[in-house]
Amino acid sequence: MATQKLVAVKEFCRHHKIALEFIQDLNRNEIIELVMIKRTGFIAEEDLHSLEKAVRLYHDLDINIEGIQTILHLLSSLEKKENEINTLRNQLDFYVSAPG
Amino acid sequence: MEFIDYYKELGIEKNADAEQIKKAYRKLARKYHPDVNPNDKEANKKFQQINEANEVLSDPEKRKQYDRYGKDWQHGEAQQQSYNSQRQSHYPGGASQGFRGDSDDSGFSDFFSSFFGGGKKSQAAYRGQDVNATLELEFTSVFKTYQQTFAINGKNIRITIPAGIENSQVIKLKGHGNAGANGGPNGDLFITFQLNNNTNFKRMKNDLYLAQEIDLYTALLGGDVTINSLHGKLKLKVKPETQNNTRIRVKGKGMPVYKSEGDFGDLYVTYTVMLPQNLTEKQKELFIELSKL
Repeated sequence: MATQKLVAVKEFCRHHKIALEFIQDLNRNEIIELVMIKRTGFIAEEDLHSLEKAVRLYHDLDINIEGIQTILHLLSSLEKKENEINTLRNQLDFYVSAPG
Repeated sequence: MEFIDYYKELGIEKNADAEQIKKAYRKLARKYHPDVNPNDKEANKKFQQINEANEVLSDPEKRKQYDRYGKDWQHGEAQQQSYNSQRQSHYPGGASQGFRGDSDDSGFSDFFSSFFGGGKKSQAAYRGQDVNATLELEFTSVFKTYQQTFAINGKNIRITIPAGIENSQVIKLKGHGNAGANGGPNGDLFITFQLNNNTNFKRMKNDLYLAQEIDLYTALLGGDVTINSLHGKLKLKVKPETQNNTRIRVKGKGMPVYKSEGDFGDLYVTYTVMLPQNLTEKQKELFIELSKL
């Protein structure tokens, strides 16, 4: 059975000096997904990167939850486009001087 | 070391008040913050510059010192010692304002360090910066899974390069980026593979394509042709009356399938029929004879 590393939300908030409500807002807006175990909220390790990014956008750039949601969505689109460009670049490389 | 005009960096007048500085900084930070400019080194650099400008201008003491010496800032170095001791008493924790961006916090200019004796040391824990690296590989080297050690940020990292990796493919090595601060986790290392193809093969995903010349007589009468594939020498049959640009498929002789051991793509060979040149009189006669049949 695969194991999942989890970080307690309270611990995360303490560490980053942020309010628990902020994480709950992110969860309500489906920016992150909390894992609930015996009424205690946890964050999956693989979601930490997105969460920390959201925290920085909120605190550093003074961007509200809706703005964060939009930015993360656009960044995700950007990443997909970059992957698509790489695939197309490889295909272009194939067709330039491709045999027969 | 050149003087840095922090007011110019933030696009504000020298008499700007705290609110104007904050506003200018926020505006530029939203534009250049590393989180909204992934993999953009220029934006990252610009962000560090505006961060540094804000670090100075948003701190009344630093701004006062900066304003006092201005372009004669080198004379202010003597003041550094006393300034630092004052600073310690004002900010015992060393805490300061500023962003905890996904950037290198130590990225302060030499000018800043000379003037103020080093960058800020935020007490907040934050994740280390992600590091992007490019690893150049020979096209044929990814035919088999192997391990390679390479140096990044002064550290040797040994990674497994899975067979079949593609050009421009990126893999993430968790926790191998820059160190986090104040107990924060390390960033990740993103390696982009750049495959240098100096072979005659072209690649499309897992399949390989090769143009193979055959002479007119083999094309007309049929025969064998031996090619050097990545799997070794292959003897291919050429059917009689093979047309120019005929493409054949050799199953399972392409590139290894990424993370699917034992599976390979196919090899497509396109026959290019080469017409004879410098015909002898005898050959010309025979071709004329043939054409009349």
